[in-house]
Amino acid sequence: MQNYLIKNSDIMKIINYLSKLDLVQDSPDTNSNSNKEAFFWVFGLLTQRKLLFMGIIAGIMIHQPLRFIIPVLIGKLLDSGVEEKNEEAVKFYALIILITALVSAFFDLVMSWLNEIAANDVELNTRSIYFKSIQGKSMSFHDESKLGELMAIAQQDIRSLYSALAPGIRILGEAIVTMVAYTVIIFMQSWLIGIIFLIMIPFWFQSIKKYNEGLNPLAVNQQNYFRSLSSHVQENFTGSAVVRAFSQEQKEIELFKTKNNTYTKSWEERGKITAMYYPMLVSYFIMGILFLCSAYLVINPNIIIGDLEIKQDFGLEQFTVMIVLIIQFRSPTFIVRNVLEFWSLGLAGVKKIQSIITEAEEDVMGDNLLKPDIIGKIVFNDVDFKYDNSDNYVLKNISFHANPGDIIAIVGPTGSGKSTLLKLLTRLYDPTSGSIKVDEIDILQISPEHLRKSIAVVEQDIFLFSSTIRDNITYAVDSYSEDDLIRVSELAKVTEFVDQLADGYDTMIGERGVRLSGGQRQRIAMARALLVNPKILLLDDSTSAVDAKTEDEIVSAIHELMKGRTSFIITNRLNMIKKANHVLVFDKGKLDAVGNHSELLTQNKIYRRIFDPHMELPKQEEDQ
Amino acid sequence: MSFLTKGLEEKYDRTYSDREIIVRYSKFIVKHKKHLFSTIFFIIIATALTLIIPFTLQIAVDDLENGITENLILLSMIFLGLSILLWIAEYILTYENTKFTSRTTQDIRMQLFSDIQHHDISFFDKNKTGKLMSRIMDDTQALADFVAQTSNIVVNVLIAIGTIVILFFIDPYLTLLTLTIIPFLILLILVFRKIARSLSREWRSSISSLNDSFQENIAGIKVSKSFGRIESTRLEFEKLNQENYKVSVKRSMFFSSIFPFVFALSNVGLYLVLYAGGLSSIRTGNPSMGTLVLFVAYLNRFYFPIMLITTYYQQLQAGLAAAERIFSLMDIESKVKNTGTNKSNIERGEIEFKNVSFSYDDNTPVYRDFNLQINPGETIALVGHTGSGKSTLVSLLLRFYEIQYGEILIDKQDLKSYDLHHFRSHLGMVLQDPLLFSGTIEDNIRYGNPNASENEVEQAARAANVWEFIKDQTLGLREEVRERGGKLSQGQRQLISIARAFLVNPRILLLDEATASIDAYSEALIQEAIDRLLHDRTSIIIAHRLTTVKRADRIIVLEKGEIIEQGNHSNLIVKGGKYAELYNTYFAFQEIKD
Repeated sequence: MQNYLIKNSDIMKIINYLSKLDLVQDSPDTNSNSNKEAFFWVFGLLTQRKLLFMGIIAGIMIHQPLRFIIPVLIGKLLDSGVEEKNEEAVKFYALIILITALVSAFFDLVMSWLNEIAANDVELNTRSIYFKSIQGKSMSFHDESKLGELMAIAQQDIRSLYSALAPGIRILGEAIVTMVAYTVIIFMQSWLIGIIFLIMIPFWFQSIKKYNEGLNPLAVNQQNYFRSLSSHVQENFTGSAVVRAFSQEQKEIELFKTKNNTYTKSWEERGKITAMYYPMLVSYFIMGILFLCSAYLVINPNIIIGDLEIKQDFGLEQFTVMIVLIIQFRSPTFIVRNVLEFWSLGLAGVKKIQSIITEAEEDVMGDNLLKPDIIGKIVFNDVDFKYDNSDNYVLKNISFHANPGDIIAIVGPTGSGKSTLLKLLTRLYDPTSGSIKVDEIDILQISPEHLRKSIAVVEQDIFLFSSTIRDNITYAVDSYSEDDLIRVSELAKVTEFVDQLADGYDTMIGERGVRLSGGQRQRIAMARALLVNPKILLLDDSTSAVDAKTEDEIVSAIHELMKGRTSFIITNRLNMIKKANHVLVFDKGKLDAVGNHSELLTQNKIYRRIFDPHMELPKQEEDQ
Repeated sequence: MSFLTKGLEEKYDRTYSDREIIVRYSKFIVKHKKHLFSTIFFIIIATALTLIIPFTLQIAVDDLENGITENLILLSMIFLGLSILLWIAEYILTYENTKFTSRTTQDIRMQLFSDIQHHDISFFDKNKTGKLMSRIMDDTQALADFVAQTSNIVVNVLIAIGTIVILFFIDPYLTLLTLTIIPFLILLILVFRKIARSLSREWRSSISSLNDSFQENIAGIKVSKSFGRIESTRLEFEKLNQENYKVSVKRSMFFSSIFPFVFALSNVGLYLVLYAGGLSSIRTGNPSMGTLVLFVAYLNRFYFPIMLITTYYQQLQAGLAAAERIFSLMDIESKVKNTGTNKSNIERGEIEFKNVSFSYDDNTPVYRDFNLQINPGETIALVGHTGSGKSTLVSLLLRFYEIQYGEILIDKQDLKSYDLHHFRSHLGMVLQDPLLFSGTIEDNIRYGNPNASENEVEQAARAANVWEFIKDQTLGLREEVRERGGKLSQGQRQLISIARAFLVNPRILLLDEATASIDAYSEALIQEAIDRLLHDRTSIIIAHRLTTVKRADRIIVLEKGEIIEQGNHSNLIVKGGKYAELYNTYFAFQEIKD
């Protein structure tokens, strides 16, 4: 009975934890090989701290057997103390029991601490490895993966790995020791019952395994239905105006009702299997049979099977010990279920983490990469590009050159490959064939870190970190002076709105601070680029139309930005295009024409279509 | 162990009394009372069995001590039989309890969702999606967990009380001795919770800033890479990771300490029972040995329930708080009430704003004494700066909000006199950011008119210039668009939302033009589709496109909720007022002048 309390509370911990996180995410992987790999991965991380690991094992080996000695001592106390009417024996054994319990508690405490430290270590390391690995992935990886999913791994899966270790290791170790101690103690009372017990154990394991296998798919079901219900609700709320405008409230309610019912049903199905925990029934049978055997033995200590007479020393003391053990058999049955669930969750999490980590990282390694001073001459020579997982070329046969200080305007319909061209220049992707040369050096030979430090990028959808304006502008440099900050802010017209903020440059951006307009974000991004003082500038300006005043400011900021640099600019702004040395016209991944504005307007069909929308499309009123 | 710390971290300020909440909740129970009663019934059965079973063991030991052996086999059979009964009772109890909680939760969710469906848009302005989601998904779940938890506590408490009563009858002296441990146990747990609270808070804040940093850095990976900042970002993250490690180790070491302590304490209890009980048994023959075994067996039955009860109050508070959040959301009344009964069709599409006053928050009026007359079939372009009231005008026509004064007349009838759903079914809307729902393209086109024929859907898609695109899809109309139409481009979404409006074939069309510039070709497709859509309907357009403005029958220039100019493009340009200014600074950019 001693560890009834401990076990029950662990169970509560586990149940609460599971119900809170809805952890069961994947159906049990039948691929035992990957299970094994995941297991070794965890094991490898654990054994990095050998002393800790040994300490935990030692702790379990000490405290858990001590707990099992207690029932034996109780039997002794009752038998040689109470039964024999020996007061000294009672006092002695009671004290021994107390000391044993306290020693056991002490080792339990130390072991738990070591276990928590080890699990935290693993969590820390796994998170570092995971983060670093994601950082190192190519852009195609990032384009394809969803942030939410990567985050879920960082939060839930790393956390379930943690729980598989603490209290997972502890409970698993205790469960193993418990079963061994059980067997040993039963053998100590009677080897005959011991053998019977050993015969029954496989049935017990089997029942737990079967139970788990039956439960897992139901848990997955329940979770999927929950997700489906949840995403319907989310869509409905996000689209509340559309739902109302089209008067579809009733239909939405019906849909919700169906999904809600399905979810509730899956909940109940799972609840039914959980309630019908038949390993417990099996252990009741084991307990009953142990009781029966003990009763039989105590009545007939000498068993005659055929010619064989088996003598057993089985009296009151042994019987009492058996009774105390029988009562205790309930708790391992409770725990083992959760150990299995814990580990299957933990391993599922590890598998997900592994699958991310083992994916190839960006090909940027190599010590012999060049770090030249970059001046800004750029030559594209017959460049083709397609994404790894696709057969369609995004860019085909692209050749052109730009001299240092040139302004290159890039125009073309969406999806014509304009943005991809810029990504090739920063080596977010590498060409499938052909070459790109910067100052006569193939960019594949230039260190990407070095190359990227010479290039500044202003993206189409500006990403700003939820930090201060200052942090965002100075993001790309290691150090800066206040004068630098103010100078670039003025050039990028950031000062105009920053000066109106109470906290100036130290104003937080985003949810915790001010909300910036598209134009303001763009200008901060420009200041960020200016501070780098790059030789090459890549600017994607196909952003939304803004009001006239902002438009003016952006245009003049862009002009400042382009001075003295080789600039590539994707834009629809005519006055920008007119300034360009060359205009590249893209269509369906091909370079359709190169020239300046007036040449192109007269010679190029696509260019005309872009800048004179009414020429080829349905007739509309041409003038006022 | 989390039951020990549950409900620790928040403070609950409540406006509903406990009684109100329980009364409200019990209304949801009534329908499922069958399951509740059978849960309670089997709780009692299971408790009784749990209490009785150890007696077979006690009797066996006592019998044996007195040299009686003939009943032992029978006792072991009874033990097995009762255990099986207990298993069955526990099975039914757990299953019935699941049924009860899941069905109650299902009803609460349903009620909440359908209540929300009847709210106007001002409700959604005040209650953000994230908050509503957490009410309908998380709070209901938390309430269910709490109810399930409560039944668990009831079982344990009953067992504890039953045990104490039984033990008291068997041996009051030993029972009292056992109970002396309990005050220490309660004290231990209370102290533990006090420390746990602050450690938990600390950890929560550190893990959340770590997660934020993770999210932020991965979301901004392109920027990091483009500027060559990978290494410095990693170091920053590593610093946070280390900080979190320290806090987390501290917290988890503390949390894992409680059970060794409780174990030690409970063994002090065991010591007392064995010492005092053993000596008394030798001296007086009382308690019997079987009784001692029984005490040992029962001893820890107290501790777990006591721990549960000690922590129950906080959980109760958390559960009631979740319930209150749910009920208070149910109690919000919609401002726009569908009291109109007029179901006559809108034939002409005439609109009149008569002395309309409106404000979102009852303080700063958007419109004050606003008047506007729109003729059937007229195309109106609304222009003006952000905040001038363009979108509000459209929202008011859709009755997304209720006006405070004045009236809006549709075909000479007060807007409020129409049945809300009937009225809206005569309106078409194309939004700036066309929101599509997950499902197929067809589902989305049919959204406002689910009963349209196949042919009508095709016609609508053709008219919206999106048929070609649909035909190119592998599954055609049955192609999935994914959540919020994520699989489609902005332009395609726009075209589908135009098709959606076509299929409704509304008398009055409300159009919020997109500001984001799409490539010229898609733009032309959209313009053409919109042209067709506008034909022969009363249309109000929040205009961002020069072509749209030029084509409108009448341009209305809004500023701070007032009409400052109106007329057609050429007249207004000639006039040289606000519109001309707007044109020169804004729209003119869209015109290519060589």
